[in-house]
Order: sequence, then C-alpha cells, then structure tokens
Amino acid sequence: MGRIRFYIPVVFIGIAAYLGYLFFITKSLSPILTPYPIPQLKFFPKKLNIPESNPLTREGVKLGRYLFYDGRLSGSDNPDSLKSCASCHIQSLGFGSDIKVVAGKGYPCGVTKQGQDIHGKELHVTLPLTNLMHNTNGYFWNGFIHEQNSYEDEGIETDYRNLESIVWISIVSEEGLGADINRMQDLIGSDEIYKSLFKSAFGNEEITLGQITKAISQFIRTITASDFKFYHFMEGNAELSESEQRGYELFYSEKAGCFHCHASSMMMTTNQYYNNGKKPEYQENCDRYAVTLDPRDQGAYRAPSLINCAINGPYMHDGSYSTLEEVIEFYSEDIHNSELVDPLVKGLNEGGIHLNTQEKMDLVNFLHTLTDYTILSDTSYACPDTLGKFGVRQQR
Amino acid sequence: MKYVNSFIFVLILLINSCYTNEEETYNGTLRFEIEHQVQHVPLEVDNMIYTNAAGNQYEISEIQWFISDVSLVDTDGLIHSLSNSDWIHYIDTDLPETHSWTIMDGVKPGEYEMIKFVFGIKGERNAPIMFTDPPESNMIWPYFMGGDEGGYHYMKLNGFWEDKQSQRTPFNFHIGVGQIYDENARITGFIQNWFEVELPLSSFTMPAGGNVTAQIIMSIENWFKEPYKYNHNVFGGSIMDNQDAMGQIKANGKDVFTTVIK
Repeated sequence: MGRIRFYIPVVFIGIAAYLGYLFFITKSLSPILTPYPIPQLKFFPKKLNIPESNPLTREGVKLGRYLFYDGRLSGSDNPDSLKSCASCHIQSLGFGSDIKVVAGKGYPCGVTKQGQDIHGKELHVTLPLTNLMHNTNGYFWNGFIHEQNSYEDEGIETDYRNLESIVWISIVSEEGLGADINRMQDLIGSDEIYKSLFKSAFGNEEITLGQITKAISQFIRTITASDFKFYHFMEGNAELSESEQRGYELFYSEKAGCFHCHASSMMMTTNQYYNNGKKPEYQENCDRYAVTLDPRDQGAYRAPSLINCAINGPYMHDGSYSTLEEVIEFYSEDIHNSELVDPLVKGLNEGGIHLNTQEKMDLVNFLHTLTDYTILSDTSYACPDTLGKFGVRQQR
Repeated sequence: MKYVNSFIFVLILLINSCYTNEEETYNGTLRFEIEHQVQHVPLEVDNMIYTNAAGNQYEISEIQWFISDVSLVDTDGLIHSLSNSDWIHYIDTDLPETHSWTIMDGVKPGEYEMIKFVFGIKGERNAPIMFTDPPESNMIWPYFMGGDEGGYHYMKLNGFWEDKQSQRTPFNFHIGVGQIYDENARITGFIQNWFEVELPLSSFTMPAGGNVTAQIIMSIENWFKEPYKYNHNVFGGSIMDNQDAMGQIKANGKDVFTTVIK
C-alpha cells in the first residue's frame, strides 16, 4: 500500500511533464498566427465562405498578397514573360478584367458534363475578385466551383469546392499562368523574403503549390468593395442626385425589376443563375446546364454583382456589350422570349421594357453610385514595392 | 464525516437526475412540414397544366415565402407563442431543407384547439435589411415602396400564364407592403398586407415528451379563387406597386392554408 502511495504522484508528475514537453514542442514548431480582422459590414452577409482548412490570418494574407502580384508564379523570371494573378485581375478595374477566358484541357474544365471537348474555346469574361468571401453559392459564371462538389473519388487533384481550386487551376492550366510547377517553386524559393513569409504563415519555409494556393486565396478573400455611394445612402450617410435617385427607384421598380436578381442585402446580386433572354435559343458550352444537367438551366448564368460595374466591363458572360449603355439598351429593346427565360425578366413579350432616354441615363447614373473608388488605389491591396521588378503592376 | 460526504453526494445526484428527467419528459416536440398543392395534388413546377378560377391557364416556376409568429391556442383560449427564438421561417420550393422545421423550445403537454401563424411578416418586425444572408436576403422589398416596416416580400410566386393573345407571359405574383399613391404617382403612405392564418382542424394533443407533426398545406389555386377571382389579364405580371392586386391576394389568402395533424 505504501509503495502504491509513492508511485501514484510519481506517475502523475511524469505524465504532466510529458504533456508539458509535447506542448512546448508543438508551440515551438507552429507559427504564431494572428487572426485576420474581418470587417463587420452592416449590410453584407454574415455567413462567410472561409474553409476550416484555410482560416484567414494576417501572415497568410500578407504572403498571399506578395504571391498574387509575383510574376514568377508563371514559372519564369524573364521580365518579358512574367505573369501573375494581377495580370488579369487588375486593381484599377476593381480586380476585374477586360480579358476573356478560354477553356483548359481535360476534365472537368475543358470537357463539359455532356462529354463535349471544349478545350481552347472561349468561355467567358473574367469576373472581378471582390467580396468573394461573402458568396456561398458557388463561383464562376455557372457555379461550377461549389462547396457541395465532390470529386474525391475521381482521382482529381483538387476538389473544385472553393477559391483554393480556382487559384490552383489558374496557376497550372495552360490557359492560365501555365506554370512549370517545379520551376515556379524554385524561383519563389530562391527569394529570401519568401522564406520568412512562408515561415510566418505556415511554420515552414517549404514552397509548395498547396501553400501557395492557400495564401493567395486568403488574400483574395480580404478584397472587399463596400465603400460606395449607394451603400452609404442606405446607411443614411449620403445623398443621391436627382438623376441617381430616379435611377435607384427605376432599378428597384416593377417596370425595370433589376433588383430581383441584382439586389439581396447590399451585395448587388443574389448570386443565383438566370436565363435573361439574351438569345432566341441556346447552344452553350458552359452555362448553368453544363453543371446541373437540368435542361431548364440552359442559357442561365450567374447574375454578377453590380458593385464596380461602371469600371469593369465588358458585360454579360460573353462580354458581348462594351458599355453600361449597351447593357441597358439590351434590357430595353432586345429581350428574346423563349421557353427558358426566367419569369423575373420584364418585358418578355414586348422585346424589352422600353425605357426613354432620360430613364436610361438615370439608370446609368445610379449604377455609377455602386463604384467603390477606394479599392482602386487602396495600398493594402496593391503590389508590394519589395517585389521590385518581379511585381506585376497592370494599369488600365 | 465520510458518511456525511457520501450522503450529500448521493443527494445531489438524486436531485440533479430528478430535475433532468422532468425537463426531458415535460415538453413535446412539434414539427412543421410544408406542402404546396394544386387541387390536392403536389405542385408540379414548370408545366402549364393549371387553370385558375378566372380561367387563366398557368404554370408555377417557384414559390418563396415567409411564415412567422406561429402560436398555439389551448382549450381555455390562451395563446402560446412558439416564436421566442425561431419566429420566422423561409420556405422555398427549390430548397427542400426549408420545407420542414421543429420548434426549438418544445411544446408543453396538453390539448390545443388551433395553430395560428402570420403569413408574411408583421410590420413592426419587417425591418429593412434585417436579413443579410441568402436566401432570406433575396426577398428584399424596395425601401421606398415599403418604408421602415416593409423590408421584405411576404411571398414571391413566379410563373407564366397564357395571356389574351395566347402568349406565354411571366407573372411575378409578389406580395408585401402596399403603397398609397397621390394623383402625381407619389407614394404618400403604406398598407400592411400580412395576415393572420387560423388553421382549420388543427386541434391536437401533445403528450408529455411526445411528438406531433403538423403538415401545413398551401393550396395554390385558392390564391386566385375567393372572394376574388384573381385574373392575370387584369393585373398583368407585376404587382408590387398595385395595392388592388395585393389586396385581393390578401383577402384570398385566408382560405389558402389547411393542415393535417400526424
């Protein structure tokens, strides 16, 4: 009995010391990560699209910002062939683009669900990278990237569920950066600055495609466009001009009915998919139907957010309109009726809603109140100076 | 001392277990299920197979609506609100997960005469931009058309009807806060169009710790039937700014809902 009394505390002390050792080792190997302060926006969705496997940290976001602009992501350090995310997603365009995307090779991007090879075919214009953290209903024009996807059993290298997959596709696909991954990793790894950035963000200096995609995704999630006049008007902190006010009332009226697809809190989109009567018939490669295989989804595409629409055309999924005036002209005079058009589209049997000149101008003026001018030059989103000649600084 | 400590320990265990048992067995579980029907048959969307009381042939694409402030009336006529933490529910024909829900706080055992609820949202609770997350936020009602007590549609029932020229024409049978317009078409006031529904034949007994399911049926054809024969050819496809149309919907809505207790 006496020996047992002696051993019990010894065993406990031993276990405690071992646990303490494990704790110390773990702490010393893990980086000290600072949670990224997510702005609390009164009129934006509170449910955020941040996967548990890639939480936002200041360190990860900082690294992501460097990589987003680093031309060596293309696998080259030749000044003439540097390419990065910023080559297409341009800050002065609200991280939008005037570039059209073509389909890559193989399943699932270059082959439709119907088995059609669409490699190299023109798909769509590039959507801006703003407020993506607040979107929980899939990415791309047809919602192909969605958190409900499951490709785990199909031997595909990424799960196509979230932004991480988009970044991955953009780096490896020929039609994106087309990077030689080993060369790219070597180039990034040869820069001393990345050793400390990776160590801070991930606890090691290892440059891997997985960690690169995570960091870039973190940075993209922080790009927020909410500093626009109409937002402040709804808060009661700004006034609209007479024309903007008329445009606002028309936008939210039964006559134009724009808001049914392009509102929902202040995101200026429902992030739902609609056929808006753009054509009399549809033979599309990458519409919503290509994702759902529901014939009713033919010709349907995401209603994009109208935030910053005044600065990041061309418009529609195929970029068929260059100006906002042309878009409004389409809804006014050129709607095509078909079995597939969404019932929310107005003026279906009349070819459009037939706005007069003043109404068209008022709508354009209202759409300009959705421009966040701050984001266009916000230095916290800009190319870091320290990237020097490797930083991609596109201007339009 | 050893025995005193043991006695106190056992006493605490007993008290705790009695309390827990009472909590667990006291309230019953009330579950609601929603079904959308036309002529007693589950709704078939995107098929022009229906005819309303005014003779319009029509099809339904989707229905999105709010039910709120559910309460029970007991045999003494006392009203028991079930709306402490879950006062509002969004229902969407495209989202099966919205078609049923269980009352979070449970229901006291006893006999109940009736289930009541609000179709839509009462004005004082219908604040603009109170929902920031979809799908509820997609029900937004324009601020200038609803004011501070008209933030959201009560219902969006979208579809097509065959108009007088036999054209397939979209309708947005939307109801929310109505407007009063002056002779210059300026809005001078608002009209609340939410209404209370007293479900007929909805009496039930909730056993202690038991389960009751109330299936609420929306009979879509009744939106167009009585007391007004709602005619799409009269009101057209868009009615958010037409209180005459929404007034008819409100009046017709009293007969739209029935229930089956399971």
